[in-house]
Amino acid sequence: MNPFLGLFDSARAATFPAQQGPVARFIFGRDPQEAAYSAGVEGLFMFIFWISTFVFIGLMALSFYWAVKYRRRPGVAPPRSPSHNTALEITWTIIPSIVFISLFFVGFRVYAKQVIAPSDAVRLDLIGYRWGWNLYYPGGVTSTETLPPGTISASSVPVFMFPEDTPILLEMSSQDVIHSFWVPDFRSKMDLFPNRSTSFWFRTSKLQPGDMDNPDLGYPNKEHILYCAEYCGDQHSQMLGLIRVVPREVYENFLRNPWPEGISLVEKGKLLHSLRGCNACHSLDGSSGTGPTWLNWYGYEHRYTDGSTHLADADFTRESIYYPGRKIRSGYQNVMNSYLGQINEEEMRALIAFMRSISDQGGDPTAGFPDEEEETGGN
Amino acid sequence: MSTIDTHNAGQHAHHEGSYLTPHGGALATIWNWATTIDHKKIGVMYLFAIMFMFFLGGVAALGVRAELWEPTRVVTQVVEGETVTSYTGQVLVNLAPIVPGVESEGGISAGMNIYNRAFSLHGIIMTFMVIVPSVPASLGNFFLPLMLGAKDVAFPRLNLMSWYIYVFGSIFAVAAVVMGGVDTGWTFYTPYSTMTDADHLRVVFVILAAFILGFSSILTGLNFIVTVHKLRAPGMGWFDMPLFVWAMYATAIIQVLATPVIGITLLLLIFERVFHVGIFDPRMGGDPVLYQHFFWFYSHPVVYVMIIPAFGIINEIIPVHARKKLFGYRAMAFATLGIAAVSFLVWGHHMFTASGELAAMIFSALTFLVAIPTAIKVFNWVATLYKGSIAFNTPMLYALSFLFMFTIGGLTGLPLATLATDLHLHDSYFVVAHFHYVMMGGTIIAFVGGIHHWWPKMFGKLYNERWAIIGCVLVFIGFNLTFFTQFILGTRGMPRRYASYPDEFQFLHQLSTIGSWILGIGFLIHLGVFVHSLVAGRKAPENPWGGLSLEWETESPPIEHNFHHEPIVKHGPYDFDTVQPPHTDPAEFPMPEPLRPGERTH
Repeated sequence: MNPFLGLFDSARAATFPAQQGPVARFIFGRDPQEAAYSAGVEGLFMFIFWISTFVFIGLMALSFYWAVKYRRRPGVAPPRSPSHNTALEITWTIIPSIVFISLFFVGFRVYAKQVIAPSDAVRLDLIGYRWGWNLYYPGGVTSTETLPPGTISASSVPVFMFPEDTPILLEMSSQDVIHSFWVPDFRSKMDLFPNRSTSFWFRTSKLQPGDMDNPDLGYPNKEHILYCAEYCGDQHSQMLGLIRVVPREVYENFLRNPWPEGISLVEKGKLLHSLRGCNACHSLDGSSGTGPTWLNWYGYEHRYTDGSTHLADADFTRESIYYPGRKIRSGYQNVMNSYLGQINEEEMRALIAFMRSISDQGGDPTAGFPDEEEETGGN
Repeated sequence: MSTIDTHNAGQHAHHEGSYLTPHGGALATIWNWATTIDHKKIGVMYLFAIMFMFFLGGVAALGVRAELWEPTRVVTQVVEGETVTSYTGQVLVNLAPIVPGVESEGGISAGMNIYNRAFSLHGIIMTFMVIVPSVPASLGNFFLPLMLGAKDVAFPRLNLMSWYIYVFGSIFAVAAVVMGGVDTGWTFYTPYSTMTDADHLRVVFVILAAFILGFSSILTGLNFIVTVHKLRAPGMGWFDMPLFVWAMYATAIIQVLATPVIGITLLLLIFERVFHVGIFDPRMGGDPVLYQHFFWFYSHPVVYVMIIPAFGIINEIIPVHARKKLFGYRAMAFATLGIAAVSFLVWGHHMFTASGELAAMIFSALTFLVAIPTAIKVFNWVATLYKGSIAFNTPMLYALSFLFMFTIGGLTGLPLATLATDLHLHDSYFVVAHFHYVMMGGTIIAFVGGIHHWWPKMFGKLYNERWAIIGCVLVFIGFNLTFFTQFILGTRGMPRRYASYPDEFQFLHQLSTIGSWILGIGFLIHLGVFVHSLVAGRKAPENPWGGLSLEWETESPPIEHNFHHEPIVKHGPYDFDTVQPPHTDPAEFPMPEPLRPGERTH
């Protein structure tokens, strides 16, 4: 290891112990929650903060003192004074340069910890879209829980579970525009792009018996808010997520059986409506958004931009979700992404059942799917 | 001892009128101003246009702050034409008619549309129509030739043309607003900017406006470079120029070199939107990160187009009102050029969360390089106060405010230049606070200070010092309340460009909003002071502050051809310890004892 860096690290460790001081607590609001690097980021910030505070107070005190001491007195000439001092000027060039070079090196060291994931990290896929997140667990499992609208956001917020004390590596990409994955508690972020993969890693902290961010759960847990940090349009500020760190057995149970006990097909469809972000464009109350409402959609004939009309049956629903560009409802834009490969058979059944349940022409939503045939691809 | 061979107007055979003297009737006067090639008139027209644009951008900012008063006061639906909040169902003042197009789109996104359009409007107006042209186009146009002892800029007709290009570009932008506004933010990041409002031309209009405004910048910059090279008064070497001129020179170089890049970028963006040529949009085979490189290759140097002129103003205000030779003149001049040069190499620091690790490392290192000359400048200003004779009038209070806020702005740049901390702070309110401390606490504060400093010279009228000081104090308090709170919001995790936010941030947001009201009142007081001065201000003397640079030699307001005789420069612009300022009374501006033989001051 570079001895210079080692020296700097130990100086920082001595000045800023791992425990968060009252000033850091005020500045950040909450302790760093990620176990590998976030305390390092915060420690570095506080190091810069104290240097800056020292320099700022020094400069301002000097300015204020001189401005008052040498204030103008009528008829009194200013004293003679130097307007140049080579030694002083060299000093105040070299000292900041040394500080800046040091900051760069320490910043780079901590940055390396932020961007280089350990090889044993659990890899998960994260897709960002307007305006939500899809996290794919092993075996195609996705999140099945949301916070209701009004909890931390005006929209419903998906909950993403992670096992405690585990390095997680998210392979991230975007379906549409640029988004950014930011968990302030982790003190780091990374952008998501529509045409390339980026990654973000963190180590979940080890849960203590007292960690009960959500006391209703009955087991220790920690919760962190996930924000989209890159402006992505109308509901950018609704593009939130909740990261919940849970005991390993809870996580493994979730992977084995992601859906809540005894949930009906219709309820499952209703959950998917918000989990998969359908709610961003398709309302349930009859109001028109970026896309048509789902209220009384199923079982009715609708007019499409090519002049045709089409009955919204199960087959047509499936086509509209997998190949949304084929038929565009009159009065709407061709903006929906294909969900082919993202919504599996069971989820599709749940969505159709839910649509039927909110249409007065839907019939019995739990009845079989008489229209269901092989994908015809007909236009 | 005097700067010019003579400055006694009485010796002249003919008496030339001030540039403000009307020519004939009202129509003739308007025609005279509209077709003028006098740099002073063009500067004044720019000044008022920029003030108007500042007012528009400020109203948008107050709207943004008002919306953020409540965490869930997110307007999410339009019910029967009324805009209501999502939870309380409370009917807001009917916002929909303000933003045409929102009503028809309806639905859940309508309300946030309004917020997103308001902050985009604020950013676009303040960047392209206020801060970029602010100091160079108004004060620069007016004072650069005066400080050089020239009759006008090198190309007066080109100067008039750049003014009309500015007006033309602004009209395009205003047209887009009237048509419904854009929600892209001022950065127009792709692919969002090529997708949004696909059926409207508003985004194209605004981009076109920025493109047109760029030409205005280039022409002004070109004009200034040639003027500085060719039109310095006899006896004025490069290191006899006031530092405001140095600042204008460095700014002009950046404008000429960097602005074409944004021109090309914006043109490509228009091509992509209108002709669907895939450049930035991945759906057409383009790359959105390429856009970010292009955009910041211009927009980072332009950050220095915004701040270097402010340095120039502070370099004039502090020595004149402290009656003190500026500390480290040459260091200041070289620091200005150094910042201008390095500014071209740091664009990648806007993309630490988007670019590869190696690029991030290089750009972080280069960014710290800019910090060094900036730090030197601050030290020089503070050292200039030492053993001065400091007047606490409005320009000086603004200069001290600048020192306070710019230092905070500069120091908070350090955790943003540092890779590890930037990953947390990037795109948070910390960044918003940081660039407002630099752009507003730096540039706008220096600009307002500069307007007060030169107001008596420009209009020949004094302003009401007491009310101007009250305005200045309110601006100082309001500004810090508005933006200091945003640093803490950012470190605590508040992302920027959010119309709604979790409850925990509400208290700080409310403090910030209250600050914005105080700030607004402060600026309104200044507006009142300016209007009062123009209507009923006392006549200003030639040199109210005891300045030594050439603009203080001529009359207030200056005569049409600036000087009765071509000035001959015999001393530096800051030799307050050896030269009695022109038109001043030694009783009011006494000189230090002459040097004893063999004594040196430095």
